[in-house]
Amino acid sequence: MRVDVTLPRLVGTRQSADALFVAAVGRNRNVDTLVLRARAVLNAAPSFVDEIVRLAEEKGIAKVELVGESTELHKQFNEAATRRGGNVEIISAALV
Amino acid sequence: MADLPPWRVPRLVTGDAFEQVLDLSRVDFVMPRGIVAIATYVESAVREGVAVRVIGPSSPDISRYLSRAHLPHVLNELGVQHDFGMVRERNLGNRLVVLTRFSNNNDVVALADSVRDFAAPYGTGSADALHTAVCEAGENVETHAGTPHGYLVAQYYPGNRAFRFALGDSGIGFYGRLSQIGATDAGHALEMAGRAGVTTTGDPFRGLGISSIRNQLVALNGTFVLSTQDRERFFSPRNGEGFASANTGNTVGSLVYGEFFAG
Repeated sequence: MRVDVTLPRLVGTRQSADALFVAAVGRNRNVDTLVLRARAVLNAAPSFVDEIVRLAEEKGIAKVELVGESTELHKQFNEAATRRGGNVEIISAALV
Repeated sequence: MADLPPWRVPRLVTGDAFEQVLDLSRVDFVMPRGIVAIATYVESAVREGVAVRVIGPSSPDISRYLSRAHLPHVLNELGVQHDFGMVRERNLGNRLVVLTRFSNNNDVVALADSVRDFAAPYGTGSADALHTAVCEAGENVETHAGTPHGYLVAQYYPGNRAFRFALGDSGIGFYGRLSQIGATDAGHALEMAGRAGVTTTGDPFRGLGISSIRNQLVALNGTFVLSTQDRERFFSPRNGEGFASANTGNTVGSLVYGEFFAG
């Protein structure tokens, strides 16, 4: 199951990541892909990104799919996922 | 002219455990770190039950500047007697983010967003650096400082296209927190705080906030300083790992401040 979230233009704190994640995923245990619509994101502080990846790993979500993200944001997610052991795959949405 | 660095705050204080006077009358230059240092010092004293009275600067320019930076507003909120006069509020445009107290995640997020808007006309690099700094250091206050409040001031100096910002709290400080994981003194705590991956949370992948601020500021040819008690650690493009300074006095809680150039 995929869960779809649109990120705001500025994302920064772990608490914000927690709130966003809980609102999107909640107690659902069947999520395998978290889709983050990131076209509007202008800046993301590292802790926000790390917290999303941490929560995805904790919930057993295998993939975080970024849609419309900047190169920098993709790099941040990749680095966070790698640092945490590579259990969450970061992918870009395919252009259609 | 001398700046009012945070370590001079205690030297400007006279009094005893019940009543203290913070005498700013001879202060002739203030930067954001000095304003935040005053706020955290006063908050700490008030919390201890000390009756604090603040004597404002005798220089009308400095007094007006501190008033426009909203120091008297915060002193009023803290219930502190002072002799700052009234000033006419005017639109300072994208020059000054006044002394702002934040207390929770919503405050930090709102402040970080507004600070980014403040800096955006001067370049996305500086805007992003300020946004990251407020998010990371601001969230640390609620998570680690043991006090509900933090303070921020930021200013743009058009003469050299520089930003200066300071963010501090009157909580347990870097040493109070990092002594839980082996810091032996305040200087050691600052050295640890500047390293990526040092965290008291137990999650070995956390501890990125302070180092990410440092990395962004250094990339903008800026400097970044961590301060607590009588120690500082100074980071610059030439000293990415930072170096310790003992040339300080007594910073209440934790204070971080940065200077970088528009870009």
